[in-house]
Amino acid sequence: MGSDIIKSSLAWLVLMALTLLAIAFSQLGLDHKFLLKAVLVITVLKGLLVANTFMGLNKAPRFWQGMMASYLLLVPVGIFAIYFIAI
Amino acid sequence: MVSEAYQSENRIGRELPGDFAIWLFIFAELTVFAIFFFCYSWMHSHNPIMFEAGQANLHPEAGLINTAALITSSFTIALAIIFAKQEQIKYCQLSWSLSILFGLVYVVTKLWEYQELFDAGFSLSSNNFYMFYFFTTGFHFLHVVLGLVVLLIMLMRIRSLVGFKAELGNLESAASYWHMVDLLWIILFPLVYVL
Repeated sequence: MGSDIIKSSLAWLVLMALTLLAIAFSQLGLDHKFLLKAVLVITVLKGLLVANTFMGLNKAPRFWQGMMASYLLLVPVGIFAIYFIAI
Repeated sequence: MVSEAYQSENRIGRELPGDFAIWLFIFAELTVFAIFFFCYSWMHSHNPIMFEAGQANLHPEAGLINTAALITSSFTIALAIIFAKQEQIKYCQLSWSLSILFGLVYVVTKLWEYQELFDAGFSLSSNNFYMFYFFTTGFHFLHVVLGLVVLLIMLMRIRSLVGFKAELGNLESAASYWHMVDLLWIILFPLVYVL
């Protein structure tokens, strides 16, 4: 249980750092395609951290863990595809 | 076959946190929001000038505060569930209360941002950007408010020591819903404020 608290605390730190990183990328005036890729990768990582560490899906039946991972991967990929087609 | 695999996983300790029904509800909600995300992206990619002008009137600092508030709230509710499993009721109550407090930070910040935009003359009918912005973030805001009501009800129930173990499933269901609200914001935040 103590290790769960440490894992959750580390996850919180990483989530905050990734949020700041996404903001930093947006302030750097990067190429929009690169910004899109970088921010969406950060979004996937943050989503998986919340789902597996906070929600506890890493200890749930694999079907539900897979469903959530698929959602967190497919939605950003779909968003990227929409922007990519338009650009 | 699927049922056998499911039972086998349960035997080795892989269990879904909370009630089965809440997970059906969570995935239904996630699907609805995915449609909003795709529609927003489509409209943005086809009206870049309008959307970038609209984004310039938003308050990224409010978005950042809200992201930090929801991530921290999700973290403290995860801690509350760990404490609940250890039957450390005082710590569970404290963490649960902190989650409500951080949720309220989100509510106040979002209301402030809406007020700023309304004062500047923007509304749902201003143009497609504001229509999507107010509708999508407003729908998410309603989920946060509903989540806060559920968290408050569960906090009252934690106070009763009788049947605390039986209440664990309900606590996990409420926490799972709250994490979903956080997950949705994690996708919504970069869409509206960053990209």
